[in-house]
Amino acid sequence: MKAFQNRTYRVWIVTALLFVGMGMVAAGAAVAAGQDYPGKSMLMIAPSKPGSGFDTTMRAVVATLTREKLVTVPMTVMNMAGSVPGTAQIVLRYSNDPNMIAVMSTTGSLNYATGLSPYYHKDWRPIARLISAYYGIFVRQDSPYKTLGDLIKDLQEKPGETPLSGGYSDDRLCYGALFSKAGIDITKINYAAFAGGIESAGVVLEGSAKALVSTIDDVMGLLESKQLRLLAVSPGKRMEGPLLKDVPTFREAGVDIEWDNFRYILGGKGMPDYAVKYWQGVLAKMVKTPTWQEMIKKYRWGDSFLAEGLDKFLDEKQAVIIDVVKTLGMNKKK
Amino acid sequence: MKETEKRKTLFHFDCIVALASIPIALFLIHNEYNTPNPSIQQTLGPSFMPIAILIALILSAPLLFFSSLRTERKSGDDAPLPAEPPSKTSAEQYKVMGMVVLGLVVYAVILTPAGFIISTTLLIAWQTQLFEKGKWVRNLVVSVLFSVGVYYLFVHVLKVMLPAGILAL
Amino acid sequence: MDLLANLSLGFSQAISLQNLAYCFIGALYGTVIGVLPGIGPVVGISILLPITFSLPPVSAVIMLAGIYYGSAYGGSTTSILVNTPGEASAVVTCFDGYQMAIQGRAKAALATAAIGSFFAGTFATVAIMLLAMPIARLGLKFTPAEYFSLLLLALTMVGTLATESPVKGLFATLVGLLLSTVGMDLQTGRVRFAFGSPWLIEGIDFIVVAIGLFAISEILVQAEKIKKYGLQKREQISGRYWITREELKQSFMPYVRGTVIGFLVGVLPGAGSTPATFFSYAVEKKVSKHPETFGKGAIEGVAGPESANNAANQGALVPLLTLGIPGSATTAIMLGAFMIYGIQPGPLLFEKDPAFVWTIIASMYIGNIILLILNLPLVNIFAKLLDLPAALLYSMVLAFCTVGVYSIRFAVFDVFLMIIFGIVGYFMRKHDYPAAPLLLALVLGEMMEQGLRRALTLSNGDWSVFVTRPISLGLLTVTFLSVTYSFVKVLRKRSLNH
Repeated sequence: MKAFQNRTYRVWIVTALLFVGMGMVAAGAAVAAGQDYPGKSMLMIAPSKPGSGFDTTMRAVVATLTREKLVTVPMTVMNMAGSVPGTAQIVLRYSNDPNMIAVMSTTGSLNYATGLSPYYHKDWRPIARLISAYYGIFVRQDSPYKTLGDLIKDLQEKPGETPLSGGYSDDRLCYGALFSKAGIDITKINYAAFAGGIESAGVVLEGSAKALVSTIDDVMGLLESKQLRLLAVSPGKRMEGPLLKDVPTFREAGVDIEWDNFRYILGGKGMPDYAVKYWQGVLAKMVKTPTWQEMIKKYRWGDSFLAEGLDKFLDEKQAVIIDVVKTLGMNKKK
Repeated sequence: MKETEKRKTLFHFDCIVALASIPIALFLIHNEYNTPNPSIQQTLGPSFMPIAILIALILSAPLLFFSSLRTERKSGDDAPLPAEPPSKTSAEQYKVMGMVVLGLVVYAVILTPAGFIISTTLLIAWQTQLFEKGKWVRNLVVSVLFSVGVYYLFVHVLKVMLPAGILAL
Repeated sequence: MDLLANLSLGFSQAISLQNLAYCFIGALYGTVIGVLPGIGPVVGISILLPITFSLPPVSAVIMLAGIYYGSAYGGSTTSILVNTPGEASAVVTCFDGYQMAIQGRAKAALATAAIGSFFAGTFATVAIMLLAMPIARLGLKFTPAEYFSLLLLALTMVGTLATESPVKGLFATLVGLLLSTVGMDLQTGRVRFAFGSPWLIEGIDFIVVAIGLFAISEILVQAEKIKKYGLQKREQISGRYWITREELKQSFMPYVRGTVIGFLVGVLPGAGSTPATFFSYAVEKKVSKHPETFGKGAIEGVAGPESANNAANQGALVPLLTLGIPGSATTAIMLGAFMIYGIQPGPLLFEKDPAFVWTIIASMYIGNIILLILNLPLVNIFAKLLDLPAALLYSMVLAFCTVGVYSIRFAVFDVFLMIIFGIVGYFMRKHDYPAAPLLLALVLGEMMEQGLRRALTLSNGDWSVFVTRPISLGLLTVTFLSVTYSFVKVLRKRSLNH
């Protein structure tokens, strides 16, 4: 038995080494000049499971680029277990790979602020923001609240009797930022957290929760079927569409803040300038194509392309998020 | 003879489980207790459930201990018989099982760098040799066919990405 | 009647060659996905989604639906043949299905699973047709408080599945509950028991544990036996029929009960099909005249849960279609798909676009028939797989398990986790620690805890909410009675022995 194992082992080690050797030679040859970029295939990382926001965004990008023939090299979408291990892998394994791009959102900033992840946007190179999802404060159709101000009043006076519901991560950031700006002590708010906006709609429809915080596209259906009513929406300007154009923004409703959940494309920290410029160019073209316009209409995303000034935007957002997280005490360490 | 032998093993194992669970549970409680909670309004915080479960575990440990003692003391037919054939596992048997586990562990380690096809071929070759010595050719052929087939199925038909590793197909 | 008119309209559209083709492709794809361990309809549907964009919405939805219930048919195949659950809702089928295969009755197990799935799928579709709206409204009444009470009942019911040693059952349940707390707590964002591992932050996946505890441990047990007993072949009973009349008779009531239980549980948003299968198993064991056969190849233990599985999947479509609220992770993805196609599920859908809804419903009937026709002949082929040289079979199973587990979250970490649980499972089997309570606790633990805490958040700390709400009170009462009854039974047995 032992002798047999030794021989097998040796055979395998030699085979493995052969393959490794061949691979290294091949890789070395492929490190061509930047003029050829992308040259070989691109790895498009969506740092979460299939079906999630990152995943759908990245697949939409790949589908558009392919259909509009903007990128001719093969693009493979790779999923990860979740945003925390995903960002860790991106930073640790792909920082110096010019043929990798990934998608990220406020989740990355949130993970950094709460200490779940040691990495944030300075650990990679943001390329361009593509889309924004906007939030809304919803109530049941027959709710006594008619304006955002009504809700805020109740939250001030009797927070215990005004429970809210919504998603557990970025929705919480939204209400945290909104209501702290409105002067409410957000640590007193009763917030029942669910996996996402639509899952948290149940308790509002049933009556146990008085209002819902969610991205608008998540619960659009309930809005259309008139089961929910919007009190206010989060972007800076009013939104379009028959159901949304008459809804005041947070600012118009009296709280000087705008909020969104943005998604942006990034490359590794060591990504060379020519690669970044290439992708900024390609993406700028992409967002003007009819395929992309159709995608964002289908998914109900907000078109918010931004390449210049993205770093500054991220810095500002990160600061506000750290603030909210600190107020909520979500960043406590031992 | 075999029955008492089996019950002794049972008793032994349950004993260890019961005794070991107490310090582990205590350690975990300490860990939970010392982790600070966010200032979010909560009637029952995130520590409630874990600590409650751990306390229940600590309380059940002596129950487990004493019930295994009671089984030991009973003789003959009234003690419940286990489902597996009564026999003590020999060192050689453990070795075979250990090899199976080793093969899996190595597979997990080399999966991403070496890629799916190579790793899986190696895995199947390894495991089939463990289960049935000889039949080299058959095993290798099956390994390669299987790995390539599954790779094709997952990556091109189901469109689920698998590590390409060195082959970068 | 209006209903029949609508239905015939739906059928006329569903029977178009194009739609039939899409239904078939979806069903086939779904079956493959269901059979493969680890990879489930969530991954399958979301990856296929972009391809469906170019199809007309009705056809796209027909195909997605086909994948959806197709996967429910396929999952039990590997559970029965090699103790490897194809997806979470097929875990319970391992309990008795695999035992049946060992006894040479694999064909009967596979057949009863297929027939039960067909039965449930068909009748559940009828239920959707007739009762969708009222049941959906009832489903809405299930707030977190009710979820807590219901899941508490489920846990205590399955606790009674551990006949041999209630203490070990309790231990297993507690360990399962503990495992379910690993990861991020939704209510506060705080992470529990991750010990610095980024993957543990995302929690421990149920199917990883199940595959480890069942499939990997089984292979270890076989490895142990090689030296002493050589490789064992499972001689399958040969005969013209897949399943005897007697076995069909035994399966019938479990089909019925499983369908009812599955559908009702499936309707509850968030519940999903896995708890439904556990429920069905526990009920079958309780009402059986020979409960001691469960765990040793009782066909009811396969028939009930398999029906419950399919019925629950159909049930999950109810809140989706009627209110636009998804009942499970898979239906959540389907909701996203609907919105992309421009369909808005909700109460308006039935009014605005009845043709669409009824075509879907009609295609569900057709899909179930297609799947039955697909799966029954496959029973023979699958059973033949057991004739493969065991060394090859086990090795391929190992490879499938590792790939399947990897493809859930694309994490090698999960593969390691699977191996660890394989070893744990081996020891659990050798020393009589039951796996069922551990798995159920793992599945339900988080939902139960979140239900408890959400209920208290919404009621502002008022504990009475659990007993003032009628449904919750009812569930808690049943739980209390059931626990007391089991307790009394154990005490009586003890005093008899003395």
